[in-house]
Amino acid sequence: MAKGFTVWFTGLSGSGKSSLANRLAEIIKSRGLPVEIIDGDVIRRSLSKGLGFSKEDRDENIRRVGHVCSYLTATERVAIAACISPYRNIRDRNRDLIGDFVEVYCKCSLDECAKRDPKGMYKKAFAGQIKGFTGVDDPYEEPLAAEVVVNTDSESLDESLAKIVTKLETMALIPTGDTLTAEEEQLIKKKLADLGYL
Amino acid sequence: MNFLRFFRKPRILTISLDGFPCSLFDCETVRLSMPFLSGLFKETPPRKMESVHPTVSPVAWASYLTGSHPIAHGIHGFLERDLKRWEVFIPDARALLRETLWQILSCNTYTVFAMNVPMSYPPKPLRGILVGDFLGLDLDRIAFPPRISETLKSLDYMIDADTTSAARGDFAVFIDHLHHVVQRRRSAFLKLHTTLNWRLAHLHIMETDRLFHFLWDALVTDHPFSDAVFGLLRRIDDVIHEISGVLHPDDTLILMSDHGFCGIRSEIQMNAILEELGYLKWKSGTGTGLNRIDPASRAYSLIPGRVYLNMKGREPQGCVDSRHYSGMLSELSDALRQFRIDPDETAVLSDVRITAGAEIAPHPTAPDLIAIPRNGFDLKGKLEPSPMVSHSNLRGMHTFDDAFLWISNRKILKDAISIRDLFPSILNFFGIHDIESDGQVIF
Repeated sequence: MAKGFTVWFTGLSGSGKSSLANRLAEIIKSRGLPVEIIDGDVIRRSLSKGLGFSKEDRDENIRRVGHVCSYLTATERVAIAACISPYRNIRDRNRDLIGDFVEVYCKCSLDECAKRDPKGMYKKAFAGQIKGFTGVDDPYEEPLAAEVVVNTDSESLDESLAKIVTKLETMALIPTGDTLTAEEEQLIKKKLADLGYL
Repeated sequence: MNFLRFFRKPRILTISLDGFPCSLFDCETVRLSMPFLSGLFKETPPRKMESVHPTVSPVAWASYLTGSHPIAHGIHGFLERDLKRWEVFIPDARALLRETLWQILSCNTYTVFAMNVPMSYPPKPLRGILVGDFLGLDLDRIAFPPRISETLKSLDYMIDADTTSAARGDFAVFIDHLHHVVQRRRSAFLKLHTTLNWRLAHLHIMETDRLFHFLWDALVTDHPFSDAVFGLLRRIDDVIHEISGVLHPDDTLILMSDHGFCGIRSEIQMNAILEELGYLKWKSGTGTGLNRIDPASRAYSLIPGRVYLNMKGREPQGCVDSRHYSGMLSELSDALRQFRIDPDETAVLSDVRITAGAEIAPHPTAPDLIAIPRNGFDLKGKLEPSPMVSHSNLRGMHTFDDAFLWISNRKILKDAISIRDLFPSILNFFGIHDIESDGQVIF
């Protein structure tokens, strides 16, 4: 059994965290590891219901997500968190808490995120209907040493995913690609024998 | 159009010919068969380049891709030992312990396109396209991103030549097949390279290695298949000409091979030598593979020339105590260096090297000794009782010091060059300087 770990996606709303998290979960699952996605939006409607968007409430929300990830990691599962998590300090505290922690920064310009605006939130924020919206009137503190930075405004989803998977493989957190079948292995051995290598 | 040149970013295209010896360009018939390469090399001849020990493609290409020695990248041959199950297995790209050139470039936002380079199966994700090598057999799984498989299928892409015909001596069918493989690789490369804005592209032509293994003598002697062999070289030359045509004048073309080739005088079973020297005994009965080795054996070998002491605590049935390790290494190296099949003959081995670090303690996975054969003695590693000297239908074997390297628009800065040097040099070209490597920047 491989050890558990947490992949923590951080970035502005609309930067591609959830899309990447879902695709990454499929890949990790296909490689035989148990995986759970902790999506910021879902947590807001359940575990963190009632919390607002003050700095204190945001930190508390991320602290709770961190504890869930810590539990999953300690029980040898892969936790994938996809939360804006705008403040560096609480992200770093979660890193310390969890230990096996891979931070993925979904770097995307505010203009591009606002253009995508999948939930219509930027429109409301720019219209002043939402206050304290990250990137508009509340800060986003970029990670200083994320394990992976994906430039989601210039890379395709496949390219960003490739970077993340490669890093997880290189860190020996996930097994690499698929294996040969017994029949294929015999064919390869036959070829190597023909060439005098066996 | 000249204005656009200021915005064009420099690219590197590498075309590699597996096992093509530098010295083969000295042969006039080869030069006549390869007019494009001959033209390039007239002004700047290719440079001899050192390969790696053991001199086989997976080790050489792992060294190219990671810029490191085998002990660092973890690939030591076509076969590796599973010490827990006491079986051999075929290592592939998953066994690489270091990040590859392509992964590093991808992480630095450079787009890469690589096709058929050994140690690239299963294809690891990267920024660009990766078509894996002959350890993959299924077009559905040969490429990253997986959607590329559909393009390859539509082009009837062939991953590797079928060597069965050559093994049974049907060289007409074999050479015809090699032509098809080369042609389809060419088509796939030309189609796929236009689909992305690559900065590094690499096309590997494996067919030269396949050809030389079975028909080396057709290159160097009068042979019924000489014309067909030179015809294939002409085809390969045409493909290189056409593919290098995708470059702009400011781009860089690298032409290279991973090792050289020479004729085989005899195939030599290293385990038979160890048996004769009293280091190896076979179990009676029908065990196979590593299980055929008697636990009382003090040493055994895997192809080509990798020698392992049968260490207590490392090998599951090891008998050599660690107190005797250094002494036995030294004693066995001396015995192997002096070994002659016939007292009047030359020694089989030109050198026996103790693996770096292994003089102090056995490495958990690397061989303890590497036996380096004299050209002509092709070292084998059958794991069963076998005659020490034999001759098969194979005609060519790999050589260490006769790979070649040629680079356009660039001066090679070093006299003695190694395949490992390409890794830091290519990264340096793209402005990436702080990656650990055992190679040196040479252009």
